[in-house]
Amino acid sequence: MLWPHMSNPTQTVDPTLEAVSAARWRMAILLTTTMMVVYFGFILLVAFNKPLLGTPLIAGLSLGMLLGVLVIVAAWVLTWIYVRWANTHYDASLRSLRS
Amino acid sequence: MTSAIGEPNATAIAFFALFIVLSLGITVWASRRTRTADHFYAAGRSVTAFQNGLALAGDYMSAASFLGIAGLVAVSGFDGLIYSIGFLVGWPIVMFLIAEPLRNLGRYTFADVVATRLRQTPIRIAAAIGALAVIAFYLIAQMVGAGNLIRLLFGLPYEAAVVIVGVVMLAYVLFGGMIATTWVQIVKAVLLLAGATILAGLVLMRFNFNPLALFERFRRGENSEPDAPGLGLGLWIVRSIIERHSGSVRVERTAAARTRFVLSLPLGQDSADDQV
Repeated sequence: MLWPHMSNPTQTVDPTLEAVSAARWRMAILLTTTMMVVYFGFILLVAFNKPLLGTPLIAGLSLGMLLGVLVIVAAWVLTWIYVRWANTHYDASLRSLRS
Repeated sequence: MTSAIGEPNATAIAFFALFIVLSLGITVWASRRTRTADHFYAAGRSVTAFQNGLALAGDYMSAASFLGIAGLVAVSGFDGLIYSIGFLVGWPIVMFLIAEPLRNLGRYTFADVVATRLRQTPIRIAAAIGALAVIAFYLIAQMVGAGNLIRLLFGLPYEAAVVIVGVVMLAYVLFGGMIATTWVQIVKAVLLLAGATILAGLVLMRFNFNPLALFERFRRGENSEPDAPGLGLGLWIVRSIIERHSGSVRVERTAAARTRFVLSLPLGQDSADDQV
């Protein structure tokens, strides 16, 4: 099953393969949702609560600047989580399926 | 070294010519190695993850990100930086959703992947319309950016600049395929990363490598209106221009609620300062 809800009825699919594929989709959707929530949360704050983001934390650093940097860091962290998961779990289970 | 915008600059022209020669050299080298569709679309699957990462970074650091973000920051202050966050956030999402199916099926494009399970013709038409719509808006902005940049740097006519950039881009994609595209982007990414790092380092050096000191300089005062237009840079720009002309800017507080800015500019070599 490549995309969800698109399994081919004429083809029998190995249940382990289906489980691996389902796990990958869960991971992909979880990480995508997290990224979307983080990003749109930030953008909505920029749009609707500018004074809050303008709150100075220390000299030269406002809350908005800190959160902006954290959105970028979140993108890196989520990428790192995905790559780590794909290398240790996903690729390993695909290899064991092939052999 | 002084440089004036809009006047031909020998160093800049030499670098531009060098990069065009390098791009075309890579294209010739790549076209000799491109024999199959797999070579053309996927560089024969020979690009390593790190090389591909650099090439994607080269794509990412385009005229839109460089000129666009610099322009936005110039027009709307550091708020313009949030534009760059949106650029970045798109990449992990593409990787989570599309990279794996593309690799698993051994296909070349997003349309190939979707078309494996669905009817070919409507999917390919839809994908082509989507791609062309995005490219039309994206590429026009990129070409205008490139044309204007080259016009400003070298004094070449705008039309000639756009044609040169367009011809070089077409040549390396059509003749060199993905091998040339990847290596041109890797060269571009390394040059831009090195240049931007040096520039950022030189700017930070003036602030003792403390970014907070850099931003603190542009903080609004306690009593200023939160939504006042402008950058808060106007007086600073005025001062730098006047000091270049051997003048000076002075602030005088005359009464409790009154402030006077005195701008002095020398009129001639020997004449006394003329106050404005």
